[in-house]
Amino acid sequence: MTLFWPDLSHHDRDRLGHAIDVAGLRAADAVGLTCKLSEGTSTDPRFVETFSQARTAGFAFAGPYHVLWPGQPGQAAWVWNRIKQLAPWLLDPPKGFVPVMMGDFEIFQEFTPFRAPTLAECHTFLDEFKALSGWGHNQLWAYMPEWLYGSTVISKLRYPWISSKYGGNPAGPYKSIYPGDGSARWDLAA
Amino acid sequence: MTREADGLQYGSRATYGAALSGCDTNAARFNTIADMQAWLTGGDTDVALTSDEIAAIASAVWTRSIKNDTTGVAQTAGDRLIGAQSQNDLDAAVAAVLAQARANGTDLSALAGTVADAATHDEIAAVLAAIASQPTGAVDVAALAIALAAELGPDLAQQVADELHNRLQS
Repeated sequence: MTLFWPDLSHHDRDRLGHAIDVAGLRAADAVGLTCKLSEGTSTDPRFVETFSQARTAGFAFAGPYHVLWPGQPGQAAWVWNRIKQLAPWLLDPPKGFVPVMMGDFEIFQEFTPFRAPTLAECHTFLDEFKALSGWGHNQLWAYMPEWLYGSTVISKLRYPWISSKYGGNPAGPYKSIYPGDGSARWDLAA
Repeated sequence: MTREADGLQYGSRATYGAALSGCDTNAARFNTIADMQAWLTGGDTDVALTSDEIAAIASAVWTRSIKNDTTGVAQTAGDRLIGAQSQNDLDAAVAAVLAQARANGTDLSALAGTVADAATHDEIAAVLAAIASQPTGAVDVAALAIALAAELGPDLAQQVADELHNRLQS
């Protein structure tokens, strides 16, 4: 069985022109949701509007994701405080719901210094968040594109790895564009 | 080294029913939702350290300096280990020597008494024999006393005199 979920940011909400129907995502069989909370120390302006709906949508899991800026220590504590402020229900989640938090580790044009976070920075961020939140190890994910970090670095990643491989990136219903459980995209290149 | 992804983001133009289109979409491979939830909440101890991380930890432990409470000197783990091994050996050796020394001391004390007694007895016997070999009247008692004291020391001389007296009286 394959489980599917979208991840959303203010780009999706703004493209739509109105609040995202999160219950509708659940009705379309999405089992979970990740939603952009922040980048560096900036908060996504649509996080509360979108993610607050996740509390009652009936997901098996959901949580924020944070775009980690390079060379800026202390982001884990900042993120944890924002979660307590903007989604405090994650600290006492509904029965049958598991909170997650994903570190989004890549490079964006606005970064200063202009580089991707190092593996050490990624680990520090997740380690610190884990210590602050008390959440389980597998509740903390690392979104880490292989094209950016390479297999050698990713092989040293100590947290669950969310790979990013779009293939031809076709448009369409999420199940129909899925490459399959046996796709080579699941594998880290040797 | 190969690794399988725990989750895969496989597109950025996905449609989720009527709710949304053109969004990022992700997948995870589990038999059931409950299995995924069990994996989410049960993963605190299953991540193995890499070989590089183990080597770095071992190096950090070995070179870490910690103050020795007894000496007040900061030592690395390597130095402390060597020192402890040597100190243990030294302590054991000293204890063995002390035990033997105590045993030897007891023996020596006993032996000293025996030797002293033997020496004293032999010396006195020799003096008496010498006196007995002298013709009667030929013993200059005063001179003998002076000679005894000079030769034997006051203690032995006294013992000789006492023994002479006893024999003459008997």
